[in-house]
Amino acid sequence: MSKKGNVRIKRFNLAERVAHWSQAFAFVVLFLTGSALIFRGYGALLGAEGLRIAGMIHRIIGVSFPIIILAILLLLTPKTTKEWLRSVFSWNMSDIKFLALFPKEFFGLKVKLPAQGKFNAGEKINSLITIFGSMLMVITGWMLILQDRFSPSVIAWVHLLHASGALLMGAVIIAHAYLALGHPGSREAINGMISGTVSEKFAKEHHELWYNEVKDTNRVVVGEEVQDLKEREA
Amino acid sequence: MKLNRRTFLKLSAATASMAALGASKYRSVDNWASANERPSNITTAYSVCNSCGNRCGIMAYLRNGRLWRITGNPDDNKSGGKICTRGHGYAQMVYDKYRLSQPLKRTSDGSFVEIPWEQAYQEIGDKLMGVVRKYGPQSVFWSEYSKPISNFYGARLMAALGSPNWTTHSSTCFVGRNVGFDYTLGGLPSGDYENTKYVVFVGRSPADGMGLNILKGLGVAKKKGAKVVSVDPRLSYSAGVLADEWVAVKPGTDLALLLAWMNVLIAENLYDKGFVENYTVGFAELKEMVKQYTPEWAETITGVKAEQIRRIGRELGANRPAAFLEPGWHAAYGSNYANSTQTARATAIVNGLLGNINKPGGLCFYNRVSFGGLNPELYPTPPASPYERVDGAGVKGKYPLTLSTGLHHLLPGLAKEGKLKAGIFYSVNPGRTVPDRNYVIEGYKNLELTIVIDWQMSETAEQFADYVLPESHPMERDGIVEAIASSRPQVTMQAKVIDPVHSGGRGLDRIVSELATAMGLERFFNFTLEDLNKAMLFPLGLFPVHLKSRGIVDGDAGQWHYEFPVDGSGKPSLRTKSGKVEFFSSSFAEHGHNPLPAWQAPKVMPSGDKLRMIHGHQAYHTHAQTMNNPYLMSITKDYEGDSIWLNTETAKRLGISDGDTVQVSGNGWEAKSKVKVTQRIHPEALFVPGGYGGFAKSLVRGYGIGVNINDFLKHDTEPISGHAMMEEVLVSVKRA
Amino acid sequence: MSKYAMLIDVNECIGCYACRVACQTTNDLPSDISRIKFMEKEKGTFPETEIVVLPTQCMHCDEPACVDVCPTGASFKNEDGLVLIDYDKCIGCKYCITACPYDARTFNTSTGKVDKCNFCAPRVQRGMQPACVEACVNDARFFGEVDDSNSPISKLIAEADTAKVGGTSFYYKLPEGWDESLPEDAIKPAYVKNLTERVHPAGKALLGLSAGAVAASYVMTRVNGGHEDEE
Ligand code: HEM
Ligand code: HEM
Ligand code: SF4
Repeated sequence: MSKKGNVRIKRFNLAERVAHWSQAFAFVVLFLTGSALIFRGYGALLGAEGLRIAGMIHRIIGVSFPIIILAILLLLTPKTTKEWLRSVFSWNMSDIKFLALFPKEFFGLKVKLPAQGKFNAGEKINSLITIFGSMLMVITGWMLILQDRFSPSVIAWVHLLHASGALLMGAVIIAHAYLALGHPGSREAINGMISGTVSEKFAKEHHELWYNEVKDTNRVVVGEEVQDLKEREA
Repeated sequence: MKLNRRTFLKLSAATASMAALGASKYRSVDNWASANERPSNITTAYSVCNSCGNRCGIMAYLRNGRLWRITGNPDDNKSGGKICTRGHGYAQMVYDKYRLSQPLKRTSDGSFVEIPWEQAYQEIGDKLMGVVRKYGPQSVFWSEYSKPISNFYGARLMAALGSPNWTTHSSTCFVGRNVGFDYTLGGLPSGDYENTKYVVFVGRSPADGMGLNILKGLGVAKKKGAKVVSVDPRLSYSAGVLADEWVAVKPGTDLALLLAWMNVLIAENLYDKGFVENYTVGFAELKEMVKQYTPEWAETITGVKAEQIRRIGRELGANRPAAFLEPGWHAAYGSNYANSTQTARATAIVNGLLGNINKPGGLCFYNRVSFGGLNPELYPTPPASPYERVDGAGVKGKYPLTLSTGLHHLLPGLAKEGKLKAGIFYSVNPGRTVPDRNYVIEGYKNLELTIVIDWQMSETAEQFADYVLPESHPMERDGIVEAIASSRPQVTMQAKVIDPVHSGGRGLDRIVSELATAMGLERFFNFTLEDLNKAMLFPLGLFPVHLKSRGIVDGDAGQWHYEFPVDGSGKPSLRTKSGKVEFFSSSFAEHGHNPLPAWQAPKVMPSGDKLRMIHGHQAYHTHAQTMNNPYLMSITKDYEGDSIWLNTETAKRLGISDGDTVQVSGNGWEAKSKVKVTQRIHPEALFVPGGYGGFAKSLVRGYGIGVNINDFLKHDTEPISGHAMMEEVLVSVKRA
Repeated sequence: MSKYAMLIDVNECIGCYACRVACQTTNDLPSDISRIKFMEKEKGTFPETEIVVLPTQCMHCDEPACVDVCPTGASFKNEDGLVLIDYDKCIGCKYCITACPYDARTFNTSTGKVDKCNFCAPRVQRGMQPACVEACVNDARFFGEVDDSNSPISKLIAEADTAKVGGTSFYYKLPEGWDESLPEDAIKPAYVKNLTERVHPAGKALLGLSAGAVAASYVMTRVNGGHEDEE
């Protein structure tokens, strides 16, 4: 059995990674500051002054980060962004099959998942929720900031949507972060978001279609490159 | 003169409960710290509200020495312990950033610079004396919005200078009414609202023009079943809320309505025969004249159904003498129409037919408080001016029947003619409140010297003042003692409530005295306001300090009796020539006016799409004076109070809908306004709420808001009482 | 503790705004913030026109929507019926402004907090009348304790032409033929129900579910051959 540990496949460029972590940071801060208004015990813990500060942070981050993230994705790495978008919007039967089987995988049961592209169906869903969810949160968030210009009945809906969006996205992100950090099957993915590369093995096992596409172009060899190459050819 | 027990008890009870409670009943309530009436930092003081001519007694609450809020003084017989919207807002102006704080002098480039008081007195004194020497004292005038302090000091300064021209705002306000009543009833009686069974308001709206005493009285009377009728081209809040019945008269035709009521009362024998026989003159002539004025005839003129006119006439007769036509103020007969003075006379005459003079529930001439005066031995009285009034008020061949308060809307023209050379304007703003902007401003610009005394800027100050002298706010200074008229007259005074916010402002008493001193006239002003107040109170056994500590005290005017006034020999002694109610006025005849108020149409009549522009008060503004008041202006903004009103049908015909912006034009003037389309107004009228249309840039909150009726008027004068004619104007309106 | 109520006799309200300004000065409000709103209605055609002016302010609801949505507990219902705002706790989130069925709350930009009528609690506590009642120039406003059947306001409430705004501490007397202009009963806006009874619980459940699944996965992946990723 060859050791492929040092052969890595490039997954996300720097811009993508910065954008992702900005998004992650912003979301976590927005969730922590925003949800103090939903979880009363937590809100009480912060106290009025704390809540006021939280509200201020929420607004500052809520207004600034979406712009930063959009700028990075559209200006610095438009190509991958386009690809990402194209990929998350294209669905086929194997995606459905993946979704049907994924819960088993999630809970550690042995299962053969259909081969996936760069983003598996779960990630596509995560992406879609992030894209549309963020749009929803930004629009409703701005409406809350400018609420004096809308009628109370409009703002009533905005509140419902903003809170629903926050809670739904929160639920998704918990699972998402766990998959990246804690789940034994997909833990390797975190390296893709940190260093930008994932192990060849991970790429092949989790994103086989994508791996086949990019195994030559995106191949990055770290450390004992020669040995690895030889082994492969042998 | 008992100590004001009610207030005392109330205060001490409140204090006790405050002490007892100690801790708050409520969990950290709201703005607890600030809204707290804590005994330690809350003090109260009595004074008089200066927001309008009613001058209601107030109680000011101070928090740590700062004016916080005011309430009505519960001891005030007239206002009954209430203060209106304007009063609450006006008091707060003491802290307003737009108050004047230093004397201003206009420079050659038209702007103002601050100068010290001493310089102001010196320069004004020199220039005023210069004018007096060059053109004679009759070329100097004083113009004011009538207030007790200026009634005294302004008149005295003019007398000291030798000028006959002390003038109030009466000719654009109420002079037609006063002349009409003076020559019929010998003065202006008060309604005995509490005891009335039937009262008709002709034009006046106490719910908009704010008569707190009327509201209070009607409240009592209505509980006893009294009926209230409002004659008004507009469903005012009086007509719509206070009144049981609205008579939607065509504007300017009230006289026809009144004549028809006379007709009904006489034709149906509903008038008070005994009263007419004993206490009136000219009944035969009146009877003859009003024969023709049937309700059917009046319907054709007024648009009011004959049945309604007849029924109200009968109801008046049935309820007499506890029924009266309210003496009104400005609207139908103050200074609006060519027929206003005669309309006022007609109103007084209807009351005469009802025989309600000094009857319970009728019109009463209450006893007056007899104040003392300065001892002339110590404080020489300036001699009366030997000259005739330049505006012709009281002058034979001009306006002999009118009041001694003059005809201020004539002054700009007289300035243009060169008959007036210097003027002092006190708390009055003719630049804005007198008809015909160009006539006023162009006329007054001919003056060699114009001085404005006020606590805020005004169109007058901005447009043509040479000097602006900052008066302190009424909350910061004492005033002159005054009486509160009622069946039990009271005495009160405006008293200083807080220390001056601006060190620069001064009271009018001081400004006039110091200016007089600068002109070498100090011999006529060798007393303080305190000396004057002491002298006035002396016969009542009171001192100013009593008024300051008790707010309001009884005036010792003697027991009031419901009896027709008679002299020592039992002869009727109204202040008319005959001592009786004069249906027929020989004085009018003598000066070439119709001795009977025969029907006379207004000068102009609406037709087609030409509408009559009418105006009226809002309960939350006092003319132009409150247009920079943030509290009152925010009501205007929140409720679009500056909108003009159009009748729904009229608007439909003109293709205008509610909330549109329209262009109003008339007499060569044009202005844009938002419009309120409503069933509350006569189809031939366009209503403009009073006071708006400010063009003084320094009155920022009112600048450019709304429409000013005076801009649409041409200078004009009614011949009998000499008032302006403020609703003799037709305008057209279209969508802007 | 006694329960308080307010009654406005619309037959007497002349729409003069005296209560508004008296309230503003008494409660140190900026001039452009008012706790009282005025609704003017007219009907009929000239010259048979009628009007009413209907002042509204916080109705001090029995089950206040504003209290339900307040995330900090700043808005609360006192046992004597007063709905109050604890300004120390108000963070100006404006949820209550949206929730209030009577548009009774405004945002005070100078304090950054929400403002509304408190029946002048500081005065009521000392046995005084609210400032608006004291100021009303035509005696259209009444305030008092309703559980004392002898109090002046109880007597007025007992009169036939008095109508209660259901679920609140507010009563009106309306002129004949104007019954329909009575403010509607304090029904909690659907929004309040949706937020506090649907979205919040459902969202919290979803979060819990997600966290639970994660925890379960964590345990299970370690039990069932969790060595997959080891190289
Ligand atoms: C807080 C901890 C988070 C961690 C550890 C984390 C980790 C990761 C990782 C490792 C990937 C790459 C997965 C792959 O290889 O395809 C990823 C992708 C992504 N993350 Fe996150 N993420 C976090 C938070 C968030 C948040 C808060 C959001 C959005 C609100 C977000 C949105 C996304 C999206 C849209 C992708 C691309 C699609 C996907 O791979 O699922 N992430 N994240
Ligand atoms: C995507 C991430 C976001 C999350 C998770 C989030 C979460 C929350 C939550 C839980 C609340 C309280 C419940 C509610 O009012 O619905 C809230 C309130 C609010 N959010 Fe967000 N939010 C996000 C984005 C934004 C953005 C982008 C903006 C502004 C552009 C914004 C502006 C606000 C405002 C103004 C409030 C009202 C609360 C206050 O006044 O303190 N939020 N948010
Ligand atoms: S009226 Fe509005 S502010 Fe007042 S208690 Fe009811 S919901 Fe709360």
